[in-house]
Amino acid sequence: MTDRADLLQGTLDLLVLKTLMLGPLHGWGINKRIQQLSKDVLEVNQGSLYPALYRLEQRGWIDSKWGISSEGRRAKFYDLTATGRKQFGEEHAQWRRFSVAIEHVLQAS
Amino acid sequence: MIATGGKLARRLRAMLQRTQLEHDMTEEMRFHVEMEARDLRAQGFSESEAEREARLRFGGVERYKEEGRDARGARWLEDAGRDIRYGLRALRRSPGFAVVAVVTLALGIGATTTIFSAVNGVLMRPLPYENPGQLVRLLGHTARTSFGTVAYLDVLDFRSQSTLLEEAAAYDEWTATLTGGDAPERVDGASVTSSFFRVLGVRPWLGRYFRPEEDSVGHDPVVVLSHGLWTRRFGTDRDIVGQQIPINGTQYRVVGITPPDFEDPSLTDAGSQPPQLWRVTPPYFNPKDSDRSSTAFAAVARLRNGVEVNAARTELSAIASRLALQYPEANSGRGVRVVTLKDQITAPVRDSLLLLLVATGLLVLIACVNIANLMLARASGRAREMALRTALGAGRGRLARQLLSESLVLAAIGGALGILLAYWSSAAIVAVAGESLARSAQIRIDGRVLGFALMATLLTGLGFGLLPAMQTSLTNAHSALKEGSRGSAGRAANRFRNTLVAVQVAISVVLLASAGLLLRSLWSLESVDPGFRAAGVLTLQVDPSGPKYASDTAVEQLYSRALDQLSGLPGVQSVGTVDILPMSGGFNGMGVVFLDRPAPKPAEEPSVETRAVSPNLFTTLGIPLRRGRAFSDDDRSGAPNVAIVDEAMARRFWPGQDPIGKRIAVFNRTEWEVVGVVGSVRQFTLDQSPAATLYLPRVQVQEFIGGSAIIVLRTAGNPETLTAPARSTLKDVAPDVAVSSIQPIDRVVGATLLSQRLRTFLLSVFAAIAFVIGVVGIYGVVAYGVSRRMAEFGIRIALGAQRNQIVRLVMLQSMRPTLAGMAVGVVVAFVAGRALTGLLYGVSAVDPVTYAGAVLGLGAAAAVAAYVPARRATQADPIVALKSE
Repeated sequence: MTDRADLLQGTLDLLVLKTLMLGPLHGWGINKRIQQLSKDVLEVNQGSLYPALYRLEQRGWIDSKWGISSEGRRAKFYDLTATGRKQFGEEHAQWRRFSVAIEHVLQAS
Repeated sequence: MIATGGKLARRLRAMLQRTQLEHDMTEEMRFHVEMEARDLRAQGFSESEAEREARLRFGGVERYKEEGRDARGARWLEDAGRDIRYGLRALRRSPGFAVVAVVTLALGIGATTTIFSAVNGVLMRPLPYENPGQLVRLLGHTARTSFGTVAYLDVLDFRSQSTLLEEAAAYDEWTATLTGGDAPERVDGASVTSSFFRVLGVRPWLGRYFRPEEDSVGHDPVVVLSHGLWTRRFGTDRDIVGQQIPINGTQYRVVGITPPDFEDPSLTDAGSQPPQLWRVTPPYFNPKDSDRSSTAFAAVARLRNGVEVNAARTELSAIASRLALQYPEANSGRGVRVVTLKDQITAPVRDSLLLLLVATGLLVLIACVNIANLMLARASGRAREMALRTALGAGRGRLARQLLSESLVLAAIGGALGILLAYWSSAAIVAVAGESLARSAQIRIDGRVLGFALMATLLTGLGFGLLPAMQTSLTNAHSALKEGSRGSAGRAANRFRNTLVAVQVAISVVLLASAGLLLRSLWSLESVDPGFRAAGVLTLQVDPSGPKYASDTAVEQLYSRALDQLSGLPGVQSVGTVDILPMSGGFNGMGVVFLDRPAPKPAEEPSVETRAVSPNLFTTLGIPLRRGRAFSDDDRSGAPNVAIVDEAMARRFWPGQDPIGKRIAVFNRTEWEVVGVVGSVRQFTLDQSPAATLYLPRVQVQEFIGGSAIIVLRTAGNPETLTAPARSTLKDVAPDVAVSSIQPIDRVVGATLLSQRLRTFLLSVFAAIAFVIGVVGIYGVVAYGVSRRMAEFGIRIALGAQRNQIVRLVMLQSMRPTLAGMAVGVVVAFVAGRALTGLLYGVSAVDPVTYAGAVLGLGAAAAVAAYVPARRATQADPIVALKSE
């Protein structure tokens, strides 16, 4: 549907893929883990996570199924698909190129 | 294609799973918020604070759901469903608006679809023949006449000398009386060459059509029946094919039946019924002996494949010139025109139909403009609602689409009603128009008409939906909310709406003026004096046939007995007969020779309409005698031949002289002496000035004409009360004679006006609808403007403005678009009026009375429409106004 390479959105996709590389998680868990991993620097706008998840699922990069959370509650868990794993590599590489390029620009005097 | 199909399938699946997904989404998000709240409580937030903070951190649930649905791709169809529901809900909230809009649209689309169904059936559907584009009419004409008829031998010559004609056929009217059943029945038929059905290229339903050898003298009499006649009179008896049936006293063998949808190409004048049976030009007719100067036949031909009409035109003109040289006596000065069969059939109605189609197009346009205006008013009234929705996170495109879907829902309802209306009204038009509208049997709501209606519906929906949608999507949420209760009816919006009013007014003026011109034309046509007194006259068609009436004496006796008996009926003032009733569509032009002048060549003989009448015809029809004497019973066969001429004939041939006593020759050079002059009668239609007419006593020309006649009865009262007694009297006098077409002469005259009446009626209805829509539109805009400005008026009143000053203010402002629209409308109507010229009789296309009437009528209605809300403005309460500010 939307292939907008919006910076924030693109970044959010990358972060979601990264957190899922570590194992299946529900939405709230993904949010929490992003916060933890970024040492509370990055705060995802919580609600906007969900459209991103549905988009990734629609693209076939992640999968979802209902399960029971560690708190004993019914929750929807997301996991990477094989395509998703491959895609993470690509997205990661692209991010690197992007950040290096930005850094170059900013370093130039 | 496959990719799209896959995408569509996924969307559909998503839609079906929608409830599940919605549920999942809701539950998932609630879980998230609860977890967040739990976390926050652990961090020391109080119960209620934690929940509030969690919800805040999550953000707008609905917005994310919306985005989530979007991400899932099911959005498009789902939204459509929701938009329709939303549209219906919104319309239910303002039923007044919805009803006005739906009715306006239904009328517009219904009218357009109806007229389009006629245009489609009559003008667009191909003629039901093989390769119909190759069929042409060969229309003969001389310097003086253009009846379009030719001589039998001409057709044979055209056929044999042309390299471009594949086949040609001659065709003549034939009145057939079927006997042998319970009652004799008169049926309209045609005498044709055997090539007739071959030219058209249609297959028989049963049996066969004619064979070339059947053209020769002395052939076995053969006839082809129409499917309708076969069903009605012979009960679809298949065995009838091959049997003989008595027609006009001769045994004809039925050789074939035409298919049910066979359309006779109406080669003779409109007005008569289409033929129901066809025979090969009669067996006693020997083409080799036939008279080249007697041009009684219509000709139809098929061009070879790929031959252009223009090429055939050139070639046939050349052949006609050659024939004129070869047979100077008969053919000099005679030419031939080549016209496609379709043009010839549809020409009489094409202009009317296209005029009506344009009128309905304008009607739809005015309906569209009106609804757009109403929607704009609503849209600005709803500016706050829309702004609020925007602030709550609805996308602007989404809002515009909501509005657009509202209008499409409206259009769909209006269109559906309009199509229903069209089903009914196109059937009504066919029923009313009947034979006066060529090919009216082809008029129906078919796929193309439905497609047209759907297209019109969609376009109108888009048309009146886009404007408000655009305006709303451009509305700035911030300013709309700030402007408060007054909404955002800006200056530009007002100007735009005034322009729309002006457009409505302009269209109304054009339609009113056009309808006015047609009405005045019809009135002047109806007030034309036909030359006879139509009130109180009943007519009956009588067709004696068979061996019993083979002799002139038998026919004479029949009529003398019938007239005698009929004149004895109570209420009957006088009775007469004529062989061709005025305005019945029949004609009988005869070459006439003046014995006191040098005889011209036969081709240059002047032609006059000739009528065979009984002595009492002039009294019965009320045709005044101007000079000399009328016929009497003494003018019998054997007595000296006497003739009466009408004033038109007297003026044409004896200007400034007394025709009485002049001697002329007609009917195989038999001599006649003019004994009287009568008033002229419009023989064909009311708008054709009287043709020079020659009246001869029926008994003296009996040998040249058939046995058929029209009996005419005059009564003081309602002529229809005589129907039953006259019928039973004739049954007593001659049970074996077919009596048909019993009708007051009013109806015969009315039939010639039918197409004018119908198109005038339809255009007037369209104009009336446009008028009402236009006035409602003006009222709506002014009323809306006043309601917006009540506070202002309140302040004005508080500051001392007089009520009539307020009224004047509102009226002046509201009349500005009306006047502008009128000015434009009159200019356009002048141009449109010129296009109408061909349809008008007795009224100029720039008739000032009509235009003034249209403008004044509309102006007065517009003033009233503006005055009502203007009065309301004076009731503005200063206190309320000041408080609300």
